[in-house]
Parts: sequence; structure tokens; C-alpha cells
Amino acid sequence: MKTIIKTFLLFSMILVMSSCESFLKEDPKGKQMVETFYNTDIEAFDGLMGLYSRVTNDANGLKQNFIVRSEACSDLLTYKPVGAADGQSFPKYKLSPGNVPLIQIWNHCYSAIYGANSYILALSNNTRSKISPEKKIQYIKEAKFFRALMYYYLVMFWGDVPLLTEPTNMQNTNIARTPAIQVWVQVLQDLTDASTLPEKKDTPNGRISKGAVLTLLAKVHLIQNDFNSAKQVLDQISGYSLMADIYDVWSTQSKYNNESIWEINIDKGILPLQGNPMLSYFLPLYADFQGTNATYPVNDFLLIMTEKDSPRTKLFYSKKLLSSEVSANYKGEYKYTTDSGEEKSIIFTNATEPLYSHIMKFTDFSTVGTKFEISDCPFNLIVFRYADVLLMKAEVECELNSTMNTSLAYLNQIRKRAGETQYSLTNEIGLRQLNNQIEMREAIRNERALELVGEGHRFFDLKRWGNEYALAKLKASRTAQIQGTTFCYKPEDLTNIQEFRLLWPIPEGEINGNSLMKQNPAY
Amino acid sequence: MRLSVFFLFFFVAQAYSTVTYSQQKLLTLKMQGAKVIDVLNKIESESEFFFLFNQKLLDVDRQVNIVVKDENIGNILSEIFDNTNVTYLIKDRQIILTTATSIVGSDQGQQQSVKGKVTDQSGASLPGVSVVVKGTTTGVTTDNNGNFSMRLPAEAKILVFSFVGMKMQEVTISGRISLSIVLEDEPIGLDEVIAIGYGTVKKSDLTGSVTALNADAISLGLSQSPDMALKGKSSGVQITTVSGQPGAGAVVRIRGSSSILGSNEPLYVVDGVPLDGGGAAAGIHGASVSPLTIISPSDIESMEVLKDASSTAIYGSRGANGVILITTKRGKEGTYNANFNMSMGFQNVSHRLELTSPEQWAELWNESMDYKNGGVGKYDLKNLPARTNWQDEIFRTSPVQDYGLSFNGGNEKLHYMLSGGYTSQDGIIMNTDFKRYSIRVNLENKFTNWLTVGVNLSSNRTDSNQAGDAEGSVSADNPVGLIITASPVVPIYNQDGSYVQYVDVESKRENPFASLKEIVNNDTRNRLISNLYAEISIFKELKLRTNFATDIADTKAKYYAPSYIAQGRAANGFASIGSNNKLYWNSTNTLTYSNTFNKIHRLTVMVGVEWQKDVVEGLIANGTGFANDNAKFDNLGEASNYNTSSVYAAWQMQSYMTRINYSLMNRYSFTFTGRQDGSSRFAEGNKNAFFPSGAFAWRLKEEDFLKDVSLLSNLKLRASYGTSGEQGIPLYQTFSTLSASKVLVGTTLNTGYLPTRAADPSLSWEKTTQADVGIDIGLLRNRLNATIDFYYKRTNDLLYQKALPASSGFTSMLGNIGSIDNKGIEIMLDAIIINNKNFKWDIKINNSFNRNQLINLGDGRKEIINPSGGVSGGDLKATPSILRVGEPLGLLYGYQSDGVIYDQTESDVAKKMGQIQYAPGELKIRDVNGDNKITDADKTIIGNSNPNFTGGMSNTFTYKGFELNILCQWVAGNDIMSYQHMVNQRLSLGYNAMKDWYETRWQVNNPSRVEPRAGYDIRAYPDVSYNVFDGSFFRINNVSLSYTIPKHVISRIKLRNLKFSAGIDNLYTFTKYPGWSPDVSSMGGNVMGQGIDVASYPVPRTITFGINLGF
Repeated sequence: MKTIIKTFLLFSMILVMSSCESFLKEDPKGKQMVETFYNTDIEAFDGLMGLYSRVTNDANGLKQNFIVRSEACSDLLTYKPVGAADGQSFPKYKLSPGNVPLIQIWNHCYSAIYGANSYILALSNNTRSKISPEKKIQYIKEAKFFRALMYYYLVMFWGDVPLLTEPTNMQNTNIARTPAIQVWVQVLQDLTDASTLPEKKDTPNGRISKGAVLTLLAKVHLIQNDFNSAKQVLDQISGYSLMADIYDVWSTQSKYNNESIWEINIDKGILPLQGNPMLSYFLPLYADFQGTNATYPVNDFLLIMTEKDSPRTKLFYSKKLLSSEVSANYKGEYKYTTDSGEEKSIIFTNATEPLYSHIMKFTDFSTVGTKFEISDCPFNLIVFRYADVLLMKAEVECELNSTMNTSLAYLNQIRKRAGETQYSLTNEIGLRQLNNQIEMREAIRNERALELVGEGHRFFDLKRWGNEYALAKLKASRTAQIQGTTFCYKPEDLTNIQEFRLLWPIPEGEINGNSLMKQNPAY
Repeated sequence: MRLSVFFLFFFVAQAYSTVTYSQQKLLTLKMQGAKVIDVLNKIESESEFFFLFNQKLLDVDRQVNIVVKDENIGNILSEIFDNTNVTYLIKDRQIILTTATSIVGSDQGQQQSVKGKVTDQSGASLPGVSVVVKGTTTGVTTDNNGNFSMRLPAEAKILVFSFVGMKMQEVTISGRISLSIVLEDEPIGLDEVIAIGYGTVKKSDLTGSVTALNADAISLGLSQSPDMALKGKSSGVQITTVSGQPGAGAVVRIRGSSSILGSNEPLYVVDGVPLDGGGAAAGIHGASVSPLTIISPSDIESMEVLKDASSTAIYGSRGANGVILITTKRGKEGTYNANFNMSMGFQNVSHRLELTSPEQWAELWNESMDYKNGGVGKYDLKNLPARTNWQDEIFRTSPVQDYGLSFNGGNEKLHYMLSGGYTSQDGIIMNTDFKRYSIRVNLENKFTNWLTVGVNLSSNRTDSNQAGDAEGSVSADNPVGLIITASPVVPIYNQDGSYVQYVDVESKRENPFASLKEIVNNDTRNRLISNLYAEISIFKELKLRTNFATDIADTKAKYYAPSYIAQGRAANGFASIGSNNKLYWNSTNTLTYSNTFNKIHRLTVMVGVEWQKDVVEGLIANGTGFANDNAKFDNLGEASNYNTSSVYAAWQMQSYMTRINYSLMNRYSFTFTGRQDGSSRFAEGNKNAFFPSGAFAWRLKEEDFLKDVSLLSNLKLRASYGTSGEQGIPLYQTFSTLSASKVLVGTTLNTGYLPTRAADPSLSWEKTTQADVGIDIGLLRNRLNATIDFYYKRTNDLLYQKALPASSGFTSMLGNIGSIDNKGIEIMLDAIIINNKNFKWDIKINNSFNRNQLINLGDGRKEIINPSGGVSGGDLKATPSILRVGEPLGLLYGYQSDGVIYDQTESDVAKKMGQIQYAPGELKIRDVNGDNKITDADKTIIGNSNPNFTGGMSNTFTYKGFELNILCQWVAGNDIMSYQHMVNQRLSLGYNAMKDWYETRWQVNNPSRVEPRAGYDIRAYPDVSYNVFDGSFFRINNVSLSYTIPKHVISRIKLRNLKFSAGIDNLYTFTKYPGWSPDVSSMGGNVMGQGIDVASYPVPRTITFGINLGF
């Protein structure tokens, strides 16, 4: 018996030693694979939401860096002297290929482009899919809009960039730069394809509608100085109007209002937390804002242009101190009106940098009081709004020189709503007179600065008006100074304002990893 | 504590009782119709007498009547056993009962009695030695003079002599009536058997490089976990504390780091079962409890550190970082031991950092305001808003206690060990603690002469409250870091009694007192490890062993930040609860053939197969928006908002292994090891790899030409060569997975999917090839032992993120690139310097030199600045990591500082060079590349965190019953980048400062060339050599003194062992390093974060008092 047991054990041992290949199969439970996704309407929709997530919910893109970094390169903002060197490099025009936010922006654009490319390919090529044809067509249009949007930012920041319209082959990642002009062709193509999306009224909130596509399309035409095409596109943007009261534009009570063309929803009390990280670059130091450090306050060049105590100025900026007001006890102040009409004021008690004025316009104090965290706040981010369209219309009319009156009408809509002095082509009392097209042009350009400050358009506007114009404005902004206050630009910052720096340097990782990549000149 | 007082009195009372106990002790009994056994038990329970008898021979069930009052034992016994064949012998408290029948009935009535004397090697008599007839429980113990005498049962042939700390000896009686026995000390002898993984080997036959530590060595010093117990005790092993948090683990490196991205931690194998993971559940903030803390060091019988390829290759793909084998205690045949350990003590912070007083700090602040802010925002020195000493408020003296009770023993068939333990340690920072409850059962039964079955079971619970710790960022903006950075003029409470929310200028850094006091950050773990095995002897030389082990780990993480402190304020309370359920199983089956041919060929062949599978299922739920702070994580349903996620992760391995040990004439030993591992982590076609190794050892001492050299007691040469691997990469790397993320589009929160990983299907193992040459020398009857090893390790196919141009859509892809070298020398010395009858001095020293070098980074790249996985400074923008071919891992990279810009002239130069800050008093940066500009290109290597050498020493002095142990440890020549030093100068945030800096700083009227001014811009050049310090130290890790009550005293009170001890842990550190401790690794196991100190939880000083009693 014993022998039998032992023999049995020995044989079972030998049996056990024999191989069993399936044991080593990796079990990807709970994981979604690229190859097996995108088959049904729901999967296609969730794939699209993945693109929305990348494009609208990433601090390296629209939610923060696209806007704050480009705005910092404009003539409207300055920097906090104790801020991080990388952050200061934008307004100081000292960008290097190793700059971290710069690298993040580049990486973000291409990551979103890869996502859009692989999404478009997956949807177009999927023969066994159960996706309804209308959904498929609509989702691909939205994906194409995002691809165009990313290339828009890439070209505006870097000029010629690698153009990819299909998922990258990972075995060959050396890709040369495509001339900007050809990239614009692709962008126009994608936007034209997407421009048949439904109007905003037929689109769920937050999704891309025809209006958003056309706004971007108009901007691309303007960049190419194609005013006729721009006019054609702008005229198609319909169904929007200015909010009567400028306080309602960003009010949490009027999200998705009639002025908003494309808006990214941000809300408090959602987990994972959905904040508005952009605010921390603009808002001042103040205990109740938590986590804010005002990397980029506004500069005196902008403040000189504002009309003191107009509703727009009062909404947009915290109070700028005059030298006579500087004392150990005074720190900075912002006044706002609550819903019940009560006037309130916030004193920035623990601010150590009191001498700056800050952009406050995105923050709706009246509904949430002063206690909020950047990581958890309800302030939506409006990417495109009708005021921008109106000003583009004014510009197009002015450039086409058809009738200055049309242009003036658009411009004055903005001025009126801002509560600031309107313009006139004749000598009217109480109005500012514009004598010719040149003055009109400059008025429109300045108005874009005043109305759209902090919204991420100014740097691109300056560039499309020509490098010479941009450099002049940038230099003027770095020497402008309100009498009696300290200004954080240093004289040497002016010497960095050079034409080649209007294009950012290609990030170092790209240069090192891509043998066909060439650096922008002079870097 | 009351218990200890009780025990103390008990023993003192016992120790002073007189020798004539049997005459003095009077008993009163009243038992009618009682069994003899009950009467004997009654006597035992009412007195200190104990009976020795053979139950088979004595009729214990006989009924007797006994009524006595205040009678002595002799009279009572004579009354009980009158008219029976039982005779009795009273020796103090010990009473031996024998029977006339047994004598009469024995072989021709040859009743034997035997007497004798037991001494140690020095000739001193040994009292309390247990003398037992083999195979029975009949026995006596020796008296004060080491003498014994006993009557022997007829079948008695062999006597077994045993005594703690001595080698057990068996003596054949063979008719002798007087014996003289010399017991030998039990040093780490050559006949010792050493665990080598899937088997054991005699130390003399060992071919690999293995450090073996026995229970005594492990118990030296104070440690909560086995990794800490290794500190300073083995060559080639560097152990760095992660934090002083109770229960926190250590970073253990055996022969340097051989991987960038994979793990560099050794594999731990407990009683044959790999101990894997068991980390915290999702949701724990900051540093967490080490998985090793589930093992109580007092349960450990031995630990073996396998270092060279020959020893580690048997663990194949998991052995590249060395293997630590842990064997727990088990019962021995013929013994019965019960042991009770108790220690209590307290901890406090070993030293406080000397920070500025509120006035001194305000002075610095005002200077900073003058400098940076045109004099706006200064404090009135005479009217400061508050005076807070954060260190005083938060540090405390906290108790530690540890109890352990164990029983072990066995007979011919059944061996057992049962232990239970409880450890409790309160941290030196309020609201931190660690508790462990443990039960261990080791059972083994020999069913038949060919079948042995056994089980090892260990069941544990650890429960720990943790302070949120550094968590891999260098900013020190965590509650522990903020203890030393919070401004001394910020109060803890507002005037209305609520907490001050933030303690910095930016209102980003939360009040550390409130965080530490109010946040719940709890890590609870239950773990059940069981190992069932059977050993079948198919025939005498061939054994089949089959093992099935399971490791079930359930971990929970609970976190709550209440609504009245900064972290929970906006969310109205933030709660999270995470849970991780792990099931690991392992089936190992080995066949071992061992035989000796012609007395000179000794051969052992092992073949085996192993399957393992590990499944982890995790769940985490967060909730915010509570009505009040009552529900917390205990009722997440009350939250207004929540989100939940879960994860499943599994891996499998299938392995075949073999080991052939061949030893010729006791002189030449050969080992061949091979293991084929298959792992699910890699793609089809790459799943399997083979790890071979070979080794040779030559015992020169056994050669004729050395045999008679009496000075030399051991001389052995060893050489080995082989390969082992590393598969510690994240799971599912060969799939292009889609990542899910949440996005708010409109008012709905949607789940979106996006490809986020470029997968490399050719992914494979890291392979480490190692050559080792070693020598073992023993001199003067092994009073002096030395082991020296030289090794060379090359790791190829390094797992690292291949850089991709971002235009591809991804910045990196995990791949096999690059190589790393480690080479070094290890020396271990063990000397018994003095060995007198009463006084003994034993010293053990180890010292190791390791040189690490990156050989190749793949893609022809020479260096990666700020590599992926490197340390990033968050808000400080510090990126001190670099990988550079030809240099070691763990370099510190940054700007070289040339002191301070002294005056305006120097300032003009700095300005011209383009320094970001150039005012007098700012740091002066060296133009390393000589282009007259200070740019990124001037960053250079400013430190090396690899030490020149590391070592440890233990001294044991024994005088009679006293034993003094001194445990030291040293590390020399390493650099530390102290972010704590830097943030303590961050006045732009209003951080507190070191007093030393206050006294030596640059001032307008008193400029300095060395220390910068108040308010200088630390973020201009955060990675600067100014913050790099020499991290060399010599530490007295532990001093402990114990007194063992002499055997002859305690044997009278039925105790086997009684020891009192007192010790101080982390007594003193000699170092020039200015931070809390030079012995920290704030970034945990990250090789690129070595040598970075972020002021993590300080390592406490602990004073303990203990009692150990055995019976």
C-alpha cells in the first residue's frame, strides 16, 4: 500500500511538472483596450468624452496654460517678482527649450492630436460597428474641431510644426516640421468639415456647436489676413447677443448665457474636484482664495487705457494703489455687489505684494461669497464669446473699409455695455472721435485688449497684426508706468523683446528625440 | 504596568526563599477519595514543589484519603504512598517518584542510577542544565554546583543534556554510573544548517555569499520589523530609514541599486513563502506602514541574506536585488519552553532643530520686507501677533510597549510553536501610533516514518495612525515639514477658538497642529499567511516536498479632514475609505535526492516546480459635503458628493528550478542552480527566461598541508557566477490600454476614454549577472572569524522609459534599455576578544564598499537631465535628478554656489552674468561652462548620495549574568541635499528659519560671504550646492544592558530563564549634517531620490525596560 501511494505521488509530481501555458496569460480584467473599443454608440460617445476630457479638463491646455501663458506673453500682464523662474520667462520673453510649462503645452497638444487621430480612425474604419451613422458623422466632426484647435495653438506658438492626421507609427517617430501654411490648410479643412455641426440651441451645453467652429474658423482666416472669408464666416454666426450687464457674463447665475459661444463647465462639489486652475495665475494672495499666488497681475500699460470706475473696470480689476496710498497697513482691495445689492469689499489681508492690480472678472463673488478653493469652485471658463465675434466683425468691416459706420456700431456695442465712453466718427460731445481708418483700427485693437483681457486672445492678436506692431506694443507695455508706483518690469526685460522670440522655442525633448526636428531660428 | 509590578514582586519573593524549602513548607490538605494525580496536582498548585514521574509506571488513578494540617511534604508523601511500591526522592522543590515495580519488572532488576557533573568549556559548573532520558519526560536539572543524580528507567540508554546557549549533547550511558559532561557554547558553527531557499545546506558546504543571523543577533536593539532588525548587522546591506513614523519601513539595498524604474528592494521569503506587497490601500496620505511590520522580530529564529548570484538565482526573476530568508521559531524535540517577553518604555525626538525665536524671526522678516517690499508689511518687534513654538506644541514623549508569549516544544513526532504578541507604539508626533496584534502557529507532525506534514500559520493585524508625510515632493509642505517651517508668530488658534487655517503667506500651507490633531489618516491591515506542507520520503534518499501557501491581506485606509480645518473646509468635510483585498497563492513542489557515495562524494539534487498567482482587488470611495463631522468615512452615504473607483490587478508566474550540490571529500563543493521563470507581465514570446548560476567552494583547511596548522581553524575560498532577474514593473505594460477619466460636459459628469500609453510588446526582464569571490577564515578555534567578498554585478536590459518625441503623442514608452554596474568589497569580522570564566567580550564588525555606475542608457544617450521618475520640486521647481552614463545613480544635479554676493561690485558682475537675482546677499552662482552667462547649462553634478562605505559594529560584554550590548552604525562620504535647509530660508512664504542662519546671515551692515540674506530668493536656483551637505555619520544605534538571574536561583522557582534589560535606541549620532537625521530616505525607494531630505518624520530616541522569562 505504502509503495502504491509513493509511486502515485511520484507520478503525480512528474505530471505536475509538465507545462501549462495558459496559466501565464495576462488577465486584463477591468481594462479597456484600444483594439476592442469603439463599437457601439455608447463606446463612441465615451471615446468622444475622452477627447473632451483631454481638451477641456487639462491644466496644460485650455483650462490653464493655453490661456495664462499666452496672455503672459502679451502686452497686458506683468509678473510677480518672487514667482518661479519658468513662469516669469513668458512675460520676460526669456523662454528656453527646457521651460517646463512650454514643454507641457507642446506635449498636451500632441497628446490630444494623437487622441483625435486615433478616435477618427477608429470610428471611420470600424466596419463591424453598431454605431449609428449620424452619430458617427457628428462625433467625427467634433474630433476634427479639436484637432484643428490644437493645431491652431501649435502654429500660433511655434510656427511650423509636425502635421499628423493619423495615429503615429511608434516604430518611426522622426517627423519633420510641416510649413505653417500647409498646417493651416489642414485646419481649414477640418473646420470646414465641422462647420455643419448643429447650432448652439440644438447642442447640449458644453458641446461643440456650429458657432464655436465658425468662431475658430474666422480667427484662422484673420490670421491669414483673409478678411473676405472671415466676413463670410462671421456673418454666419447667429443666435448670440451681448449680455446687457457685463456682470452677467461670468455670473454663476447665467451659465451658458446668450453671449457664450463655447463654455467649459466648472462646478464645485464634484468629485474628482473640478476647479478653475487658471484663476490662481490671476487672483491675488488672499487666505480665502486658498492656493492663489497671482503669477501674472495686470500691468500699468493696460490700466492706463481703462476708464476708472466704469462697470467694466470695477468688475475686471482689483484696485491699483497709488503711491500716496502705500502704507504698511494697506494691502489691496476688491469691491463687489452681492445678489441682494449689498456692496462688499475684500481686503487682501495677508498679501505681501500689494502693489499690483489683479484680474478678478472670472470670479463671481456675489454668489459664493469669498470662501472658495481654486480646486473646488463653480466659475465656468468661456473659451469663445460673442463680444470677441463682434470685435472681429468690427475689425473686418474696418479693414474692408466698406462702411466705417458698421464697424463703429459693433465697437460701440462693446463700449456701451462696458459703461465706457463711446466712439464717434464725428465730433460729438461726450464721445471720443475717430478721424480715420487708422484710428478706428487702433480703437478696435485696444478694445480687444480691454474687453478680452485674460481670455487668451491678445498674444495671437498682436502676432496677426504683424511682428512690428506686436514688438512695439510689447516694448511700450514694458516701460509704461503709472506715476508713483513700483513697476516690476526691469529695464533689461525690454532687451529680450526681439522678433525671433515671438515664436517659442521647440522643447528640448522634441529636439533630442526627433532627428528630423529643427529648432526655431536664434534659439 | 501593574502586571509587571506583580511579576517583579513575585520573583523577588521567590529568589529570597530559603534552601530548606521542603522542611519549612507546611501544607494542609483535606481530600477524600481523591486520585493520586489530583493530590499531586493540588500539592503542586499550593506549593512550589513539582513532581517528576513516569505516568506509565505510577498508578496515578489510585484513590487515597488524605487529611493533614500543616504537615511537611515528607510526611504527606509517606502517607500517600505508604504500602505501595512507590519511592520518592525530595530535592529541594523537585520530587522524583519512582516505582519498585518498574525496577523489579526491568531487565533482571538491573536498576541503574547515575550521577555526574556538568561544566562549560572553561570548567565552570553549570547549574540548571536539563538532563532528560531520551524518549521520555523523565529527568532532573543540575544543582548549584552543576551536579545531578537520578535513577534511570530500565530502557534508558541515552541522556540528553540541554542548556540555553549551549549545544545540546546526547550521552550514551552504557553502564556508566558517573558522568562528566562538558557542554560547548553554541557559536555560529560550521555544522550549522543554513537556509538557502527551497532547501538547506550545511554551512561548511555553502558555496555562495550568505550572511546568517541567529535569533540573538536579531534581537539586539529595538525594532518593530525584521528589516530594521538587520540595521548595521550585515555586510553588503544598507538600510535607510524612510521616516520615524511608527511602523514605517526602511529602504533596503543589497549590494547597491541595480534598477532605475524597477524595484531595488530585496525579495523577502518567510518560511518558504515570498512575502509580497501588502501595501496600503488607496487613500492613505503620505508615508505608510511597511509590509514587513507584520512579522514580530521576536518570532524569528534566523535570517539569511543571500547576496551573490549563486544563492539568489534559485529565485530567478525575483532575485536580482538579493533575497532575505526569514525562518520563524519552531519547537524542538524533547523540550518544552514557554517564554514571556515584556518591554515598556518611551520615545522622544532625538534632537530638536534650533529655530529662531519669534523676535529673531520677525527681525529676519522685517529685513526681508525691507529688501523685497520697500519696507511694507513689517512686524512691530515689541508687539508680535503670537508666539508659537510649533515643535513644543506637536512633539511629545510617547509610550512604547511590547508583549510576547510563546510556547514551543515537541516529542519525537509532534513539534509545535505557538506565539502571540502585542506591540503598541505611540509616535512622537501627536495622533500617530502603531499597534500590532499577532498570532503564529508552527506545527509539524511525523505521521509515519515516511510522511511528515506541517503548517505555518500567522495571523496579524496592524493598526496605525499616520501623519501625512512628505509623499515624494521636496517642498516640505506637509504637516510634518510644516512643524519646522510654520512661522513662530502665527498662532495655532484664532481669538474665537477656531483653528488658524494657514501658516504661510500664500495661504496654501495648512496649520500643522490642526492637521496633525484633527485629520484621521488610518491604515489598518489584516493578514493571514498560511503554509501547508508535506514531506514524503519516497525512499531514504529521495524526498518529495509539496507546499501550498496562501497570503490573504485585507487592507483598509481611512481618511477624514473635518470641516473646521483648512483641508476640509471648502468641501465641508472630506472623507475617503479605501480597501485592498489581496489573495496570493503559491504551490511549490520539490524533489530532493541526497546521498553520499564512498563516503567522499556528497550529492544533493533538487528539482522543483512552482506556481504563483497574485490578485489584488482595490476599492476607494471619496465623499464631501457633510452635514456635520460625525459620519466621516463610517457613513459615506451622508456625503453630498462622492466618487468611487475600483481596480483589479493580477499576475501569475510559473517556474521550474533545479539545484545540484556536490561536495567532494568535504573539501570541494560545487553548486549549479537553474531556474526557468514564466511571468504573465510580459508579452507572448517573452514570457519565459532562464536564470543559471554556478559556484565553487574549496575548504583549504581540510587539505593535508593545512590540516595540522592549529592556529587556523577554517579556511574556505568561494567563487560564483550567475544571473538573476527583475520583473518588478507595473502590470499590463504590454497592452495599449485606454484610460478612463471624468469630465464635466454641460451639467453631466461623463466618463471619457483616451489612449494614454504606447505599449512595447517586446518588453522583457532586467537581468543581473554577478560574479563573486569570497574567503572565509577562522582562527584560534574560530574565536576570530573573517569573511571577505568581492563582487561585480552587471544589470542589462534595464527597464526604463524610452524617450519619445512628444509629437508622436507620447513622451515615453517603457522598454528595456541600458545597463548598470555595481562592484564592491564586503568584510565581516567576528572576534571573541576576551573569553574568561566570568567575562566575555564579543565584537562583530562589518563594512562594505559599493561602487555603482550607469554604463549605458540606450539610444546612444549620454545623459538624461530631469529624467522621468526623477524628483520634482513642485512649487520649488527643483529638479535635482540626472542620469549620466559613467556616473552612479543617485547624483545630485544643480548649480554650484560660490557663497554669497558680498557687495555692490560683486552684484554688478552677477547682474552682467545674467543671474536671476543679483542683489548683494543673494547666492553667487558659478559660471561652470565659462560662457560668462549663468544659464541652465551651468548646472553640474553637485553631490553624490552614494556613500564611500557603510558599516556596523556590535559589541557584547558579558560578565556573569550581566550583558552589555553596544550597536553602532556608520555611513561615510555620501552627500545629502537638504530641502529642509532650503525651505527654512523661504521667507517669501513666511517660513521659520534656523537659528544658525539667523546668526550668520548676510546683513546690510554686516555682510557675509557664506550665508545669504533674509529674503534671498530660494527659488531662483533651488537646486544649488548651498543646500548640499556631507551626510556621513556614526551612530550609536542601541545600548542595552541586561541581567540574567543565575540558573541556580531561578531553577528553584521552576523558571528556566529570567532576564531584566534596559536599553536606549538611537542614542546619539555623530554627524555634521544639520537636519534632523542624516539617515533618511524621504523619497523612499526612488533611486533618483536618494540623498534627498525633506524633513520627514524624525527618528525618535527610545528608552525601554524589559523582562524576559522562560519556564
